[in-house]
Amino acid sequence: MKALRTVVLALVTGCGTLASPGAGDTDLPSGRSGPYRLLDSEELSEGLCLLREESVVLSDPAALPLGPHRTALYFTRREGARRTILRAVVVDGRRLEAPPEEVLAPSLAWHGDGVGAPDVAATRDGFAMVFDTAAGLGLATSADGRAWRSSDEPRLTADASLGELTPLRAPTLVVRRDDSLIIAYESAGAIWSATATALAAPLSRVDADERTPRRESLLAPGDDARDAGVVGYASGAVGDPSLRAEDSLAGRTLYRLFFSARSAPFALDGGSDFQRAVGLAGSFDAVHFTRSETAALGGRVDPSVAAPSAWSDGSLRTWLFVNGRCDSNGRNQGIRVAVAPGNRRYPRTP
Amino acid sequence: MRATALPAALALALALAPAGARANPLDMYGFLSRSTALGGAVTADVGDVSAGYYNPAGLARLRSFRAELGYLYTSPSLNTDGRDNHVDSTRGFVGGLVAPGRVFRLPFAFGLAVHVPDERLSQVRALPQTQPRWELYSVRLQRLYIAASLAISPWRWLRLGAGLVFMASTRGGFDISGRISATQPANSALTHGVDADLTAVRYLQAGAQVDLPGNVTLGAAYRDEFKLDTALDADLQGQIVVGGINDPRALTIPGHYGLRSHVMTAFQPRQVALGAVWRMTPELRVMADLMWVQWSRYENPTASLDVALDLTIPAGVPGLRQPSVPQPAAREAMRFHDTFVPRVGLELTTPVGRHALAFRLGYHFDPTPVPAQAGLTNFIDASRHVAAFGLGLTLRRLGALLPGTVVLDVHASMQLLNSRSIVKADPNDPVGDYLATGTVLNLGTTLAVGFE
Repeated sequence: MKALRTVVLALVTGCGTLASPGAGDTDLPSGRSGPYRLLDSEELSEGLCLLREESVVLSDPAALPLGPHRTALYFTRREGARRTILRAVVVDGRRLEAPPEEVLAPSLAWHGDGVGAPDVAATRDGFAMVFDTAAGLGLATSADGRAWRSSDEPRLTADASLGELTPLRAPTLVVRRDDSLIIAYESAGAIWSATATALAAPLSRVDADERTPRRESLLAPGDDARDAGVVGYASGAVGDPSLRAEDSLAGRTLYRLFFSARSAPFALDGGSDFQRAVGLAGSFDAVHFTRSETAALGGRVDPSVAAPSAWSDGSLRTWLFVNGRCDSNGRNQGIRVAVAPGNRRYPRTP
Repeated sequence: MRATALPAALALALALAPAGARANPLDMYGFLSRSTALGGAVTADVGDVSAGYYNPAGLARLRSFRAELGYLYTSPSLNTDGRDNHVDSTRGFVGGLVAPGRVFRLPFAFGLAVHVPDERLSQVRALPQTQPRWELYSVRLQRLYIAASLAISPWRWLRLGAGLVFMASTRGGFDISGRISATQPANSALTHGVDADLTAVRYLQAGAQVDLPGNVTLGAAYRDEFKLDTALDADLQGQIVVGGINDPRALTIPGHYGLRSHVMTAFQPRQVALGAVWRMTPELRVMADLMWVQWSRYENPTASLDVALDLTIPAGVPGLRQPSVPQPAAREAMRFHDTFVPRVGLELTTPVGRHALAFRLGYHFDPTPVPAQAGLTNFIDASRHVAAFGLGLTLRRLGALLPGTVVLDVHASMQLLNSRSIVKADPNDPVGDYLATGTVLNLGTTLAVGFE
């Protein structure tokens, strides 16, 4: 019996000292709702921005996945009053595969001085792009994502009687499996949407709450001008929508809407200062959205963050491309990258 | 083994009951190869060391000393959205002994059942309630298990048994008192006290077996519930001094800060099993069990935290206010529900000379007690189909060295988890919808030696 006790004690003591840290929490599901962290100049080769150009503003990124590690990034290049749309290919969220190329420039009369704020989606026959002009929202199609043909006239123009008191801008596009499409856009500090049964079919505007006499937007500024302590998120204007549809393995489609949020200016700052943040809202029907209680990306590090577009290159990691400052004083505006989860730092790209 | 040796064996079992032991993995994977291969449907049939877990009454079947030692290996492949979550394997040594004797001329037996993990004796992880986790696997199965049982057979047709399983609870705390200088922290005068206490937790298991005419035996077993808590209390009692620490004119603010942390690190639900075995022929027996498992008393394992701050700010100090204490997040109710687990088994024994070879099949269906996770919590689980197969080779009279029997049992079983969709009510849920499924392979072997 003594020998048995010795053996058992030895086993107990020995086994208790050989353990690994334990697992069971790798590759767990994540809603990709952040919070996101902006990459800094130690993690990118070109400084704070992934895309920048001297004396030119680069803005309004829109990601179109090309594969597990590559995404096309469409964005606006504004030089003076002229706006064009460029395309770059980003690898692993932080590195450009080649210099950006211009893919759409103002060529039709209704384009005016420029085209911009693009969003691109894959269709059955190729790709579709929505963009804004001073005259309204346009639609372009392409077989390869690089050579685009614009619609001959705006597909949607502002209708003040329906609450669209300012020109429509920053459209985003979702093409569903049945070829129907949803376009969300910004006007009058709110986010609205329209749908069509096919690319060429006429767009019909969506009223998010048909029980009220006037048309309701998908997402409106919050009621509390001081944000109830969440400065820069709930109050003020919302805009720059980026809508994506995700089919979960659980059998449902979830619509995620990233957007820019801006606090209402208040008297303490001379009535002109406001703060920005990137917000996220979710919906199961693309009509009724619920806004997250906290911002996905705050404006503390960069007070000019706006116009988000998300791209997941793995099971858990999501990159968020946003407008932002490329230098400390904000004179140079370009496209920055944020990532979630943000607890890991990345080595500088070559 | 004489009856006089029993107190010594019991004392040994008590001496080995570890302070850090927690819930057991036997509920999930079974105990010893024969019983596992029969799907665990052995409440009425068990008569070896595994009776120490399945039904202590079965110990009284044995008339000679028996020792068993084996190994259990499991390989979980539990997935969410098709990605393996790399849940830890449970593996370790299993075994025990049965020492029969007679008390007042009645057959009597003492049994010791042990599962010793070969990686860690126990594991505690405190996760936020929103964090997805395979609640009934992972941490819960990294446990040391020791049970000591006694059984008696007052009549030839009746066996009764009961036992204790030993666990331990941890309670600790620390106290700090003294004077803290707000302006010269290095001059603070504090005394510290640490108090840790390991308290024993025991739970009861009991059972009975009744032989009926027609080669039928009925069995019943009961395993009590236990909860294992880890508590940590911290108290800071002292004075905050603004100015010199010994300056009587300095502003002094008496205060108390208390923190109470409590986390349930393990829970075993109360279980009642009813079973029957029918020995159709000397070679063939079939058995069935139905077990009720009281999961409805499962508590949220997320840590609860109570924090209190009490500062006595002297009058006449403008602009000084007691800071507010952040409120802990509300813990969601678990709402697990009780389950019924049906089990069936079949054993066919073929003589091979004076030896014997047994073929075993078993199956049980284990419905998940975890409700739909539409809210904040993400306790992942799914109903399981468990199919098992096993072989047993019994060698008799191997010579003067081993005049009794040597039994080598092996088993293989597979858990198939139904695919389960977790859909969230809130489209902004931080985790979102996902699909959970998986398999668990369970392999093991047991070597038993029975002395005459």
